[in-house]
Amino acid sequence: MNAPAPVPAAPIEDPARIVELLTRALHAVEADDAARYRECIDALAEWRTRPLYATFGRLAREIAEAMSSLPVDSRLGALAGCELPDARARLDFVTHMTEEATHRTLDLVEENRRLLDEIDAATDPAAVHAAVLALRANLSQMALAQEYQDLTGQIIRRVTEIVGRVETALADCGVTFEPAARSPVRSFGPAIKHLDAPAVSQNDADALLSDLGF
Amino acid sequence: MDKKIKILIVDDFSTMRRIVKNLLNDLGFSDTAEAEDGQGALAHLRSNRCDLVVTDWNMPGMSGIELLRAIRADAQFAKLPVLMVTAEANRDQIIEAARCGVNGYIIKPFTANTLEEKLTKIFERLEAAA
Repeated sequence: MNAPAPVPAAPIEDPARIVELLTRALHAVEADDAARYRECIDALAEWRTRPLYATFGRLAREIAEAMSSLPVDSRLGALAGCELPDARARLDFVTHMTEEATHRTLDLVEENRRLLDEIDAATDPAAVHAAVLALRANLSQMALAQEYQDLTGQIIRRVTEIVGRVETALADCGVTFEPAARSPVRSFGPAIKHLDAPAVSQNDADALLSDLGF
Repeated sequence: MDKKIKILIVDDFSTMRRIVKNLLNDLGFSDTAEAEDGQGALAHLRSNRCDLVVTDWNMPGMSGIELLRAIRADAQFAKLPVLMVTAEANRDQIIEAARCGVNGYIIKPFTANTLEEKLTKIFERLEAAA
């Protein structure tokens, strides 16, 4: 077994005290006095850890000083405390709004299908005309339901600004991030051009699965 | 292709479930059920008959790939066909899904034709194997 690398020895602090403790411990062993022996050894152990405590104390002081000298910590505090929850609430609202708009559009699509069946089956020109009018009104409603894009676009632009401020504040603190490692088991959502690894097309996926025997 | 089969649609977005359901209805499949994530899907499968699962991958709670693994791990569902309909379009992910025993893989956004094509393929293979 290899011996551990030697640690550079610090100068012995208060050698007289150590000699005294060791001598007393030795006498206690000779006198078969377990209690006194334990007491001396504990005192030695306590003395041994003292420089460690001093080092920890100094480190804690240095960290506290470094933290307070960071130029942007108040900015980060404000971002974390209110801007980020605000951004989150806005994005939740976008999800809600897009969901509503999609359901509204799907409702109208289903209604239009019903109207088309009606037109298909109608024998009375007046009934056909009424269904066509209803269809036209529904198409206008469908176009109108797309106005969510303008509203969510504005909200997302605002969230982008907030994210930008967080990024600047973190960069000013010297915080940098490594891109997260990709794992085949995790999900990432849609791949975005120029941001993600190029997405596999349906044809590529089919070819890949066919190579794998599917 | 038997149009009377029971299909379970698994997606965390109600809009996507509705779109898939409408497309399936257009193709003549009208017996559908829905679940919001893998857990909900497993609960449904344990107490209802099902002939095909159409699942998203990225869902909070139990994801689609975890659902696929759970299905294949259960002898009762080992042969149940699973069609993944997902925005996850990474090579490694497709390989992972294949390794876990997926029966078809559709990348979102997709068309009604793609859905029909994959369903036909799944059932052709099942009939050939039967």
